Amino acid sequence: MAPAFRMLPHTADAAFEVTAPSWEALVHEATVALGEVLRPHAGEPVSRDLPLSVTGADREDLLVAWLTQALLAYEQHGSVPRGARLVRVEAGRLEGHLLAQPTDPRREPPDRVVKAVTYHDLRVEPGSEASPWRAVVVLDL
Amino acid sequence: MQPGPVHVEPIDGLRWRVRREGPMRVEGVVYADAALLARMHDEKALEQVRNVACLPGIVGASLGMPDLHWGYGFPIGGVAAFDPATGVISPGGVGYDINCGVRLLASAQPAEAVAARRQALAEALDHEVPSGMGSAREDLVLDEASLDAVLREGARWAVARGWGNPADLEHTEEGGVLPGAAVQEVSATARRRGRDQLGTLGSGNHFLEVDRVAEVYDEAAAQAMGLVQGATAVLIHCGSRGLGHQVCTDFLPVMRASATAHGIDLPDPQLACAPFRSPEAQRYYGAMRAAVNFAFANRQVIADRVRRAFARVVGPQATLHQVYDVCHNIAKLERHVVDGVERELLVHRKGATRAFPPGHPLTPAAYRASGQPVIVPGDMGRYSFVLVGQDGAWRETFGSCCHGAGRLQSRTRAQADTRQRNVLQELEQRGIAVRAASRRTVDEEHPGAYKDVAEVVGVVARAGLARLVARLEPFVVIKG
Repeated sequence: MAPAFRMLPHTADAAFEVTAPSWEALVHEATVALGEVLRPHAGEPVSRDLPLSVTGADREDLLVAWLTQALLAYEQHGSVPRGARLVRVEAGRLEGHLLAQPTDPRREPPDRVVKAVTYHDLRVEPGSEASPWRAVVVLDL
Repeated sequence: MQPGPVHVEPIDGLRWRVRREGPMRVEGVVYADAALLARMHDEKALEQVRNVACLPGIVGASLGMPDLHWGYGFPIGGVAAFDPATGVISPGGVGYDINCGVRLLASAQPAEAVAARRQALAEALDHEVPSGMGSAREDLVLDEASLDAVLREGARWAVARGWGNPADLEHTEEGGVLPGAAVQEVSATARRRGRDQLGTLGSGNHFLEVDRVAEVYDEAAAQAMGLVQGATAVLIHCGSRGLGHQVCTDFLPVMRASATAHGIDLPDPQLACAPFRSPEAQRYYGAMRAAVNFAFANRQVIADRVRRAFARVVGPQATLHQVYDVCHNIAKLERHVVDGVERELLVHRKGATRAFPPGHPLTPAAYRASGQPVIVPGDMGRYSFVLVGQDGAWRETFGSCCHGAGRLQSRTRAQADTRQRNVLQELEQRGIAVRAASRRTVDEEHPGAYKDVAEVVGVVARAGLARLVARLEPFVVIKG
């Protein structure tokens, strides 16, 4: 299956665009994209399941908060984000599970060091019957 | 402000006006020659200068230094001063790496003699100063009380433990500590990220390098700094590590909500800001000052480890004195003269260095005749520059000047350009020993990926913002 994200050109850092048929799927695809920037997936088992819960004023806040938690999971435990399974989606809150590939960053360094998930040029655009949901995220490297 | 062409008109050959239009509250002024300005257009950095000019309470002009390039919200190389009563504070105007800065140490040791031991020195420095993503120290893990003390006392905390000496503090911006740190506003996550990162370099464009003082342009200023042509210097470039990043991350949604509540229209969500007198702004300002102090302490601990490595590898005679330590990602209350009246302003410098002129009371006594030292790193293959602030900066830029070279190539382009090359070997053949966390870092940070910093400092010197003192050329580089 073709990836639902594409990298966008950026001088100093990294940016990606994701599309998906729903808000939940958009969060999943953005999580996948973050993981691909950190360390491209070569089919290793995605055996780690970490409960995550974030709050925010709007979808932009929620997406940044979710991806930031996913990034911290990598920084602290070497858990490369590979997806999201949301179990509770409501205004101002996301609850679910980060699906991750366990690694040892000391022996398997990241392909790219991501320092932060930014709000810069952040876009979260709701989909419609005619077009999918879309997000653009810039990462601080 | 809606995207659209930025209208730029020349003031003279080195200053360009970004015309005030639409919701802009002040004009923009950018320092560049024609070649640098063309690159700024390509990167949309000028749009960011325009966006900053729309923020409430901005005073004078939204300023761009010659190393201006695309940042998050605020451009990198941007300077903006706000009226504390009517203006805002913005985490985007400080940057994620709060108090990222540069420390310059110097030694009378001939560089030739030190360079003869460059491989051993590179090994020792690489061992003493952990680098790379999430780099941590197992020998310095702070308990909660010690972390609080670091956040309140900055570099003074480290010096009080014997990691440096009081003269280091005299030659550090703000004496190495900003008062008023609100440690209670630093989140548990930020604390967790920072507790084992004191004395570490981090990743990306952060570095530690040993240089030869290749050329002295201003003998009197160089003498005051103890910089001798042909002798040795050390540059340390890093900031507040994961702790500072987390402070910024924690407060961006708070500031977005505040901007909405106060009816501030944000052309870019990363420009999130709050009226400076609001409770949420004061919470951020207190947390930011804590992160500033963490960064001062970080560079202080690194400097101590560098001195140890020098003593071990080069010998006990290889003492290193501190020339200066400058911040280039910070917001501070300072006193400036606007339209002939002295007043307090909240000056944001994001990728910009304080450059106070001769005679300024906040400039250390040793440099009061020449001006505050300004340290401008270049890339790992060419050179860096030491300058001193001049009256032009005081008159025109809220006592500020440039901070570095700025990227010329994207990381992807830099990798493509180096795919068939061995950058490490190329640098070694030029007498530069490099240690890096990964080959990819070296490729992405190869010298050609950056603009020529000589062009950048040439503009600030010709514009009278700062005066050239010395050029440094690396022979040992530790990359994060």
